[in-house]
Amino acid sequence: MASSWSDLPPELLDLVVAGLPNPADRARSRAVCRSWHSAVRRHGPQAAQLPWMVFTDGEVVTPTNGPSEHPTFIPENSHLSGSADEWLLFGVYHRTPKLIDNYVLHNIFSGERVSLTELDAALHRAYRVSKFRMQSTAHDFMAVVTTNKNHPLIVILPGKGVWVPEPQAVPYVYIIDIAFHGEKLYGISKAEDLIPFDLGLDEDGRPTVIIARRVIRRPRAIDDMDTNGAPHVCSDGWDDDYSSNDEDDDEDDDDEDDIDDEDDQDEEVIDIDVAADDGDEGEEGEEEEEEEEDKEYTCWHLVQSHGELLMMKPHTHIFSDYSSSIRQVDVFMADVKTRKWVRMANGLGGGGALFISQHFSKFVSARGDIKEDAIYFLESGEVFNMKTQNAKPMRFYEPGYLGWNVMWLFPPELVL
Amino acid sequence: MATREAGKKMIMLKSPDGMEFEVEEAVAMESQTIRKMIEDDCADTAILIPNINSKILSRVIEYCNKHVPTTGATGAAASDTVAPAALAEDLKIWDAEFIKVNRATRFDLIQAASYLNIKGLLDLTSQTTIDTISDNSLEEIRSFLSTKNDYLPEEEQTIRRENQWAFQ
Repeated sequence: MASSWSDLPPELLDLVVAGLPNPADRARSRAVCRSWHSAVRRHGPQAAQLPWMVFTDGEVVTPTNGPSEHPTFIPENSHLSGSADEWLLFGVYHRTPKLIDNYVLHNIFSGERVSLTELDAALHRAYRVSKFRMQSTAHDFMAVVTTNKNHPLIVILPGKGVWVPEPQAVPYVYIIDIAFHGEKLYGISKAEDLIPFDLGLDEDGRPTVIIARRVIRRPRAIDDMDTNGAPHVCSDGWDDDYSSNDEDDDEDDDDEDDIDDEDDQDEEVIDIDVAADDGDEGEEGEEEEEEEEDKEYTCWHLVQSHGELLMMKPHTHIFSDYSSSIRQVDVFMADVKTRKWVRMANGLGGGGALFISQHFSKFVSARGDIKEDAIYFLESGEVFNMKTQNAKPMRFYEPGYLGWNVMWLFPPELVL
Repeated sequence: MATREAGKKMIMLKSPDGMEFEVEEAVAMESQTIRKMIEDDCADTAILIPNINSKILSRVIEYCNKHVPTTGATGAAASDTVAPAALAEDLKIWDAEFIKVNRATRFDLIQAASYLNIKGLLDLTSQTTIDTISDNSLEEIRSFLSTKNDYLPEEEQTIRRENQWAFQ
């Protein structure tokens, strides 16, 4: 019989290592000795990189160990405003949580912390970040969608500067979700237009944003669009004015568009106004339909997925007790050549799964507990299978932890 | 005790250090390894359990005695008066006490559970080990498990650097 934990038979080491889905524990076990390293390596390829959950007050829930408070990394007087992979975006307030004074980006795994003073200056303190996306590192482009209709989209380059559109400018006011894809930033509107933005630097090294040729403009009557997705928000007037950009990418044209559109604005941005008044958790990309006591709503998400851009439209049923369930998910792939959304009829493609929440979207390769063609929804706590078209409760966490005040955080990929 | 054993088939288990343990067949068959020996008729009068000393074997038998199903074919049981949920809760509490042993004993128990193929005991011992490792620093894990570090210093540096974020 073995006399030391280093000499245990491999199958016993494997059993223990497989029970450690927290990658940090596996990273440390791997450093214990050579035989433990081998066990981690054997286990590695099947191990799912399950996301952690972080509550807006900073409490962390890992898939295996349940809640564990890490108060050390949470800035004092702060409110979690967004997350991207390993990064958490905190809004720090001095007097009241309603007024955010500083935004701080924090990587709880590496300990790196970046103060986003550019964002503090651009976003009025009373408004909130509703979507936060990073291109790569904390020193590269980042973009936020905000509840402020004057600055609905803000592009930040930490340490260099910030770009904001003209107040209430089209098409920025219509953007409900954004995603970095390749070198570009993309936005979608509720009318399901896909708008690419070229990111660059001006002479002073500050970020600039130029609307590139629009890849997809959603035809206004289409067979596969159900009533929930009907584009009633954006008027035809906007599309007519805006279509000039298809031929001309000059930024100046945008300004003219803005002036031309001024008259339409008040009516068109109603949804965004509502979201701003809500303060906190306003979800712009939703429409509600009365259905006796229960309600149903549709959200729009733009997701970069295995080299493609996907538009996802989950249709969620809200029950009278405020619990929710995903009824149907429409997924479309942006086809750059034909400039159309192509419905994904047979799964997600790319051998992976999507993690979707109000604040977050990420494509993850399927392995271990993460199943191919699955879409994990944080708010309803469900996993929706694209092949079978039905939703089941997610098993990763204790049911009580899922909900609206939570964000996902993905630990770094473990080197095996 | 005599009445309980009456009418039940008994099996003799022998440890390498010469101790003999007479146990009910049903209790011994909690071990899939012993079950197979019995079913294959390899067990005449006594089964020698190699590698497991009498101290550990007696603990294993104690575990199996507690966990052998009290309902079913054998009938006679105390579970008539106890709800299954309460029984499960009682077992959990008993398990938690049972596994409060020193490192060396736990280490022997996990190996015995593996060799004898006793799923419940293997789950209990491995989960206790997992709990020991979780959320602890490398130095703590090494100390809890008394493992020897067989890396060269520069190798360990590399290993740590590769997942630097886990060593903050």
